[in-house]
Amino acid sequence: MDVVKAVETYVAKMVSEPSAMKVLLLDSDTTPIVSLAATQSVLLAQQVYLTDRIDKKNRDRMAHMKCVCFLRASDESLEALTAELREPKYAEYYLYFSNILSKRTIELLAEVDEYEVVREVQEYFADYSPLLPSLFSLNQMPTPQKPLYGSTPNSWHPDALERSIQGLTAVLLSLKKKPVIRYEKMSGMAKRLAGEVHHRMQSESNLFDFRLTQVPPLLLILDRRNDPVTPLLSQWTYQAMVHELLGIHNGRVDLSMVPDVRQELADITLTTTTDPFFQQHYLATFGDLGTSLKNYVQSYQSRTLAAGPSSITSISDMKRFVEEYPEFRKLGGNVSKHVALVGELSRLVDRDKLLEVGEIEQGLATNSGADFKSVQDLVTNSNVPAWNKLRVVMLYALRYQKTQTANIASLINLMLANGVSREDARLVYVLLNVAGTDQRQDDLFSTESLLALGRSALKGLKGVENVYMQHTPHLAQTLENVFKGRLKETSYPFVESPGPNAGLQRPQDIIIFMVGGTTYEEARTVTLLNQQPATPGVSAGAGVRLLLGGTCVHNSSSYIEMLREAASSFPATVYEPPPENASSLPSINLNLGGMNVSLGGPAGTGVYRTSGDNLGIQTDGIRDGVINLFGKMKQGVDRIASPQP
Amino acid sequence: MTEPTTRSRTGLFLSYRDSRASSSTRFSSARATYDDDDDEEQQLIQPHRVVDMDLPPEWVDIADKVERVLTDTQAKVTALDKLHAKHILPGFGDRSEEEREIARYTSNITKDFRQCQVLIQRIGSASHIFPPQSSAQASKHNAQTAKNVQRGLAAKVQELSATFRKKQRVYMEKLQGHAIKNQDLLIASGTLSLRGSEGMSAVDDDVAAATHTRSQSLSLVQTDPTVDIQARDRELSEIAKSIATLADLFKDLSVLVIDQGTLLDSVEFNIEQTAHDVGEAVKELDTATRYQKNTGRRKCICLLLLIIIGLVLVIVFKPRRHSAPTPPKPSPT
Repeated sequence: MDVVKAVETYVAKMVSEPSAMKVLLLDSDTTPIVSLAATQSVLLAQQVYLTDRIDKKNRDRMAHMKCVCFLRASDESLEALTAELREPKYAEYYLYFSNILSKRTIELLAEVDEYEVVREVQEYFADYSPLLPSLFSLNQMPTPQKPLYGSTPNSWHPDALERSIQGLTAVLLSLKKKPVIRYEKMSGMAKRLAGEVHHRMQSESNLFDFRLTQVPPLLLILDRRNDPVTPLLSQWTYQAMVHELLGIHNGRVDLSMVPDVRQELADITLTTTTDPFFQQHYLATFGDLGTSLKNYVQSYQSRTLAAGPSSITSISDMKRFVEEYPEFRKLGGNVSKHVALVGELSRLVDRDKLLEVGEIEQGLATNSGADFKSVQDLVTNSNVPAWNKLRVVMLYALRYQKTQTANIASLINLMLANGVSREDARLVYVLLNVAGTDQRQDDLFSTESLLALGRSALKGLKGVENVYMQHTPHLAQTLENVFKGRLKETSYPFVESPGPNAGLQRPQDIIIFMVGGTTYEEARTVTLLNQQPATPGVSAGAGVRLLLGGTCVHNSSSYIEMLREAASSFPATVYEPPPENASSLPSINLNLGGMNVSLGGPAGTGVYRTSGDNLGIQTDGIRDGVINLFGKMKQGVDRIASPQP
Repeated sequence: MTEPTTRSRTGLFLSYRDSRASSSTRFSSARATYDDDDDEEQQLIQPHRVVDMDLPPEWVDIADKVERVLTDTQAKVTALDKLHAKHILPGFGDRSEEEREIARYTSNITKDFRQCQVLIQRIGSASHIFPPQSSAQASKHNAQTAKNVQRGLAAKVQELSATFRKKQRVYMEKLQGHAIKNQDLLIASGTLSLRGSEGMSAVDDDVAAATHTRSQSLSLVQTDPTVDIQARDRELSEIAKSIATLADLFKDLSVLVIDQGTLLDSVEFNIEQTAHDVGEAVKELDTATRYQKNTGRRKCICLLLLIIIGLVLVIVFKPRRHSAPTPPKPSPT
């Protein structure tokens, strides 16, 4: 279940094939994938001496080179490829596609291959970006050209849906898993995706012909909207922080905005596979990171001294020095990279007053809650950037959507008076409409039931080790339920139930897919769960292998941008306060609970379940039921009457 | 983990291609049957193929040569390794033959490495000296490839030379462990491998000591020991020298090799870079043509200006000259 390794294997197989000088042609979709799984030196070692984009015109003719193409079968790439084959620039072509090819496409390619230069046509299912061994992304960062949502927050944009299906099938194929699928009931998107993936697995059953395991692996499709809190929080672990404050794009970080950064550090790579220090500390909290970085610099310093001119006194010293020099130089580059990066992080934390903001955020995100007063203070504080005010108010609105509607409105007004633009401020209501209490199926803040309150109070008794790390993503709780076989089938139904009590099974391999983007905080949770020793009995999740994926990996700004863009295609009511917020009444009928009205008899007329706010429908329902009942009675009477005309 | 799933569609592709080839009357399978028909069409296609088949750049051959030398060297290193292993075992017989063999291998390998280095450096110069006749961006592309070839080969040479040196060191350590006091071997086996010129005095000492003992032992057998000693002396210092150059070579190549984890190592960055380079080249070319055009235009403007100035001068001076002979008549007062 290591996606990095899987894609690495694919790439290695791809470039090893013809043992001659090679060109590697990629398209805009596969470039990031290859870039994450292989490095230039790996490619060079396999005699790949030129890497280029297929859609670039005016490449040189190089008849002495052979060509390996790795492409996604998108329209643009196919067009570029047919143009290439009509006028081949290289001696031979080895075509690899990242997903299932239609017969039509193969026929088309065969048609244009007039010079018979194509030697291989293969499907290699590396159709996703492997970010960490247990984290993949489909690189679907929503843009105005490529939106994720359709016209409502509950529907897919058709292109995005197709892409997600392809990505997920590729993940399953590359890992050789044929899972059972469960999805979040509230989410129309998750349900749709689950159904489509299931369908794809059925129609390509000869590809999905893997050895069956006793308990089938589980593909759990979740919706970001069920947990809108996690992507809004400030992050305090290394990788998540870099992504939150600077942004990691395909393993690269752009530092050119950093004041007086050295030229060679303006753009750096940051992946766990190539960077040993990062590999060790990407999950470390900011405080621990500082200590380890200090040690790292010190060890470098001591080696510098050992390598200094004064310390080389004997021939063997010299010899050692020359031998260690390349390693030493590499270390030097690595040290300065991380020092620059951490320096910039702490500068940003300081500049944006993230420590103050973070404390309040954590309070809002966990059940402890936060004072209205402190949020107010934060919003009026002129040192806090507008962006952070928006995030805190959003969190406040999510937390107290039902109980303190008046406060939310006043906070929004306060925000408008303190430098947040109207455009941004109305996103608070967008968020409530898209991912508010009524859209979520789980109790996110553990405030709603007495049991949850008790549980979290117990957790509170254990003490908090780090005030900035109190929040655990909702995913952790969902997973715990899976481990214990307690995930309710009513809220996480199967696409096609594999039998009774399937919900009680404890799968060993779980792939979680987050529609609408996942976060590095969740990736951290998953990685830590994966690292638990595989001794059964210690804890519920031990020995279970997890893999997390999402349409993209969010930080707070990309998440809010996604909401902003999605909202422009939603109905205009999305900018208005949610209905319950309009009046101060609804807080009374909060948590009335479901009300069951059942009108029975053998015919079982119906069960009407309703929760407080739509009483009108309920009464309608009762009336319908009564009418129905009368109808049934009348029918019955007629039937009795009819045999004796 | 097991190998990830792949599916080959080559068979299907080939069957489609073949069916197309048999239905259309243009290609190989059809060629034999419809001779007359085909000739015309083939001529349309064939020349295209031939014309485009330009000669590969020179570095292709060089790169091939380096690859060959490298595989050769690899074999030599393995052979040397075996010899080392054999030599380390204690024995009583005369081992000078073995020693000489080892020395020969060592110097051979070193020579190979140097050859590789020279060749690799030639790749760089070759791609610069002979830019292909086509446009500037094309040569840029070619240069990029050549640079990558250099990098790739340099990394390979470095890796191999590193294993070679490591083996030498291990061997030496083992020798010392056995406390074999054979100075010749120590020199040959790389004690001095990384010393620069200042290390040479030590070599000289060793050589002196070695020749001394040698001459004593050999004088009984050999009639003219001085010739032998001199030859051996020369051989030894040659080896020492060649080994010292190995260190230089390592340094030279390390400039070319990309460090892991740096931006240069990112595939995406490299692709962007080629795009960028080509873009730059196009821009430069544009500026160049603009300049060229401009100089023509500028010359024209200059010429015109000169003519105008000349004419103005003519206008200014001509009337003067005309007016000069006819000075205004003094008005009668």
